[in-house]
Amino acid sequence: MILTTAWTLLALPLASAAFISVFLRKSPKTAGALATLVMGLCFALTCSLIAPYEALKNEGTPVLESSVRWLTAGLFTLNFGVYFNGLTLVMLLVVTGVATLVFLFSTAYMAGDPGTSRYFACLSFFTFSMMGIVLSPNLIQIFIFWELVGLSSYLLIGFWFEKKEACTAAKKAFMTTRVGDAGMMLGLLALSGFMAAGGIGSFDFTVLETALPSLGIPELAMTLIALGLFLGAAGKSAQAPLHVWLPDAMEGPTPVSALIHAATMVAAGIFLLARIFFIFEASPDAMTFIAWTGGLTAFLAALLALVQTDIKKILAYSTVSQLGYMVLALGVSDAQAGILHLTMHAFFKALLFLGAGSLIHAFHSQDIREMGARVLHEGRGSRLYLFKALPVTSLTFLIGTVSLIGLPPFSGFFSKEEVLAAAAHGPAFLFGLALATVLVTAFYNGRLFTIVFLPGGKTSSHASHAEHPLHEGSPAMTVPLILLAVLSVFGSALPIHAWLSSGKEPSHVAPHGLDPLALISVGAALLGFASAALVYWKRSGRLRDALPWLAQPARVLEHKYFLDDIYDRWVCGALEKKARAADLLERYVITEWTINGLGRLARWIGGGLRSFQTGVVQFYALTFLIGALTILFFMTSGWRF
Amino acid sequence: MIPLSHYLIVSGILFSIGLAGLLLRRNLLLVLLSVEIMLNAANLNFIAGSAAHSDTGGQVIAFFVMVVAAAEVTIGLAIAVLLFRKQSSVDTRDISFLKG
Repeated sequence: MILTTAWTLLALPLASAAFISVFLRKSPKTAGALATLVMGLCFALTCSLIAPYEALKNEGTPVLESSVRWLTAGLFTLNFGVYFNGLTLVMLLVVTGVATLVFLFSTAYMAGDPGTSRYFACLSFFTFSMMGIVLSPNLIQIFIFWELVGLSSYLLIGFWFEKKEACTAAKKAFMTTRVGDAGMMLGLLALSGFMAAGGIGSFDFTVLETALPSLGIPELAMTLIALGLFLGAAGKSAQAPLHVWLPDAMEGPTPVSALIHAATMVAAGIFLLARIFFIFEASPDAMTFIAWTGGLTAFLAALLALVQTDIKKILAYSTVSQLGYMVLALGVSDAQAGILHLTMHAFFKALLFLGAGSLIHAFHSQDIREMGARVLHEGRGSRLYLFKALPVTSLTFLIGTVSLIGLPPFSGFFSKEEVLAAAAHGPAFLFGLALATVLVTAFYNGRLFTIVFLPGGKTSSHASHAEHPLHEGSPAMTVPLILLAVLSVFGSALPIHAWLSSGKEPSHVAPHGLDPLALISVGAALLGFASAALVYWKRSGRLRDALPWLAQPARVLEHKYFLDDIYDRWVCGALEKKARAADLLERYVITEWTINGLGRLARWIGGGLRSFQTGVVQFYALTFLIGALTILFFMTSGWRF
Repeated sequence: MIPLSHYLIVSGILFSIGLAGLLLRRNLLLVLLSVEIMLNAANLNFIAGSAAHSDTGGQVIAFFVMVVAAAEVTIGLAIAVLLFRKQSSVDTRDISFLKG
């Protein structure tokens, strides 16, 4: 029963995407309603799986699999199917749940856009791809859906393709993740080589997990395989130094940012790490590398968020930073903490992005300083004006913020606490980084919140958009915000650990109460938020004007550690030279000389032959006569072929 | 008894006259006539051969040639009539639809 439902879950979004793109191109309202309904149905189906799954697990069969043989190549057989365990259940709940709310939000946010049908078709297709990853029983199928996710992300980032930045961002996202995917492919190939040598012909997780220790892969090779696979995950989950695409991906519509670039797609990398955790566990060196990547990403990305003024970019860097936390948790061997943080992060980050969408919808601007200035202007100096004008957005955004910086009793607190507790077992420096990230996270969130929601300082006269007073969006926009806010508050009550534990290992220790670690992290979060509020209470602008010694570090941060420049010069520049050489080769040698040359030759010969076709019938008769005489001559002269 | 060679010479002269007419005349009707002359030159050859070798096969072939010539001239004249309707002329220089 569970497996039938799982197959249905895989089929429904694809059918919805196909139906919309074939029949509903001209009726965007119906398309949005259909896509939202289908997604809601998927979520309901997923929820209906919880009870049967728990019953099955109590019987002691926590893993279900159903697949059909797809193709056979020598030793290897490739299956296509669905695979169901606790991790699948949690991910399905996150994907379908957040997707349903985002779809609902989109029906209001995208209203009036000429490409709405295309938008919903792409969004449904994305959900299909993501579910494909989550339900895959083997590595190859994951890889296929992995690429499909990349494709749908490309389509959605470049949704407003008439905007040049959107096109560039879409290309950048696609290519950066391709770099990771190349590593993943190499890892898979290397792994398949050892599998062939060991006589294992299936990439199924169940087979692989039991067979891996018997393959006798040397330690170095195992590390390289694990790192290759991790590179794929790092590309998708925006880990440094492949994180550069995520902030640019904010060119897409805001609900897309909420769904793809906060809640689900970037979670695919974390999910992959958790799914094939046994491969990574086989290589301690790779695990160390993963932990360091995660910790550094978390800290460096949080610093980058300090200097951004675009609300979506701040949230994007915040996502990168939180993904770093998850990778860090996995790197120090606590997969459950990573997945728990993924789930909670999906709730509050989707909430924050949809809240940002609601703000953008109200302000028609993404710059936090402009927002603050306008709030001041319209509120005539009343600090809490925005809470009166946009009560739902403001309150839910506050809940999301508090959850993100990790104050109890919000869901973010518990998951972050587990990540920190896991990091405490790792290297001391990493643990320190993780704690420092808590402080920085709280600071940039305090900055964002104070500037937009509690603006102070002098009312500037140049901000005058008074013709449309600020107002809340339709219920389709506010209801998802409220639901996500509820999840952000009570999300930690979900029995995620119970679902995740396979029964083989002892159940995870429940979040502990107020231990010293929690005190320290909450203290750091409060300190960060309070100091940001203090700093930006009276000013909307730049801290470095007051403290000149901050100018140099701020410059580095504003240039994003010069990573984009380095990529532009050393990677793109080098590639461009090769591309130009290839272009010349193609343009002249292949196209001009070979293809067009053959064409010109044929035309030249034809031109010569053409002059014989005079159209005068008697000329034809003469030619005929000459031909006949020639044949006659050869026949009579005794000439033989 | 006229020797065979005489017949062949007359036949050759007739064929050459027909060929020259075919290649040089500008009037389509005369071109068709020239074709007829060439066919009759061939017929003369067949009859002469038949008589010289006492073989009736040549005469049979001659009848076939006449039948085919009748059919051919029917089609040829029909084409000439249609051409005239189309462009009010039966000059071969005006028939250049096949010009490449």
